[in-house]
Amino acid sequence: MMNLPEIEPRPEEGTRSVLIVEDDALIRTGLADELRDAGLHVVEAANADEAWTYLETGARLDLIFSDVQMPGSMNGLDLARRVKENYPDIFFILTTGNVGLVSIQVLAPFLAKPYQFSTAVEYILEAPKK
Amino acid sequence: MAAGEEHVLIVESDILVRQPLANYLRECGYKVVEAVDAAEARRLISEGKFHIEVVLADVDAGQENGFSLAQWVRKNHPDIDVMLAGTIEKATEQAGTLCEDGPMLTKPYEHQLVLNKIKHDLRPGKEAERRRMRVSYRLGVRTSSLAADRGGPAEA
Repeated sequence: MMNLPEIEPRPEEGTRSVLIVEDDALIRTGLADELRDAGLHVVEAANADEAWTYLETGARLDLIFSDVQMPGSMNGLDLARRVKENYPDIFFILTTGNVGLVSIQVLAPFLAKPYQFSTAVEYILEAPKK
Repeated sequence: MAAGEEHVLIVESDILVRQPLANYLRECGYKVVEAVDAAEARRLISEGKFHIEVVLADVDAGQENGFSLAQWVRKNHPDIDVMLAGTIEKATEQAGTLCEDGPMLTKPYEHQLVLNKIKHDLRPGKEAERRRMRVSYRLGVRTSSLAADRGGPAEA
């Protein structure tokens, strides 16, 4: 098979690739913008199904930061479970305004909504590297 | 457009098309905002956080089509240019044109390479399947509408 040329900006050595999964466009684009300014390589998905589609291409990812309640066939909890099972090297962080969900803390580190973008950026930057 | 200030808003429902196009334009020096459909696009434009100068939209921009989005933009934000693309080939061509006209003097790669990447990620036949589904959906809506007009049963 022909080798395809590199057309995506490859993260420089040590630069982390982050996938933001968020159905609120203002939050998703705002946070993605801040993370790019912080030097991360950022991919945006509007729901868990899109995120899974992207993961299935085999693209390298270090961390996923995902909302819980989103439209589509999966919510953020389902996505976290599937990623843990199939891509255990990807660090997963969940975020939701529904802090009563006890299952969240068991699945993944968690940041409560609403959050300041600067807080989320700090949280993501400080996440341990797997 | 001055370097670093211009934002291109990409409106595309498929992450495997939207993401490579967005990255391509970022490599050309643009700031890029991504929307999955026309509703998100209108919200992002109206909110005004990003200084959007160009909208590059798929003709099928979610439930609302790209033409309707283009009309809305021209009416409410006439300073924003709108580029509509009906196919992935057209979208990558337009992205290539933006890169040629864009803030960086050299473009990092040809739009054909972006197209190759998109087609690779979509895998053989998958893009055609998606496009067929969209067409079927549209035809289905039209059939229902016509049937209703004739007083007959609406078929999906």
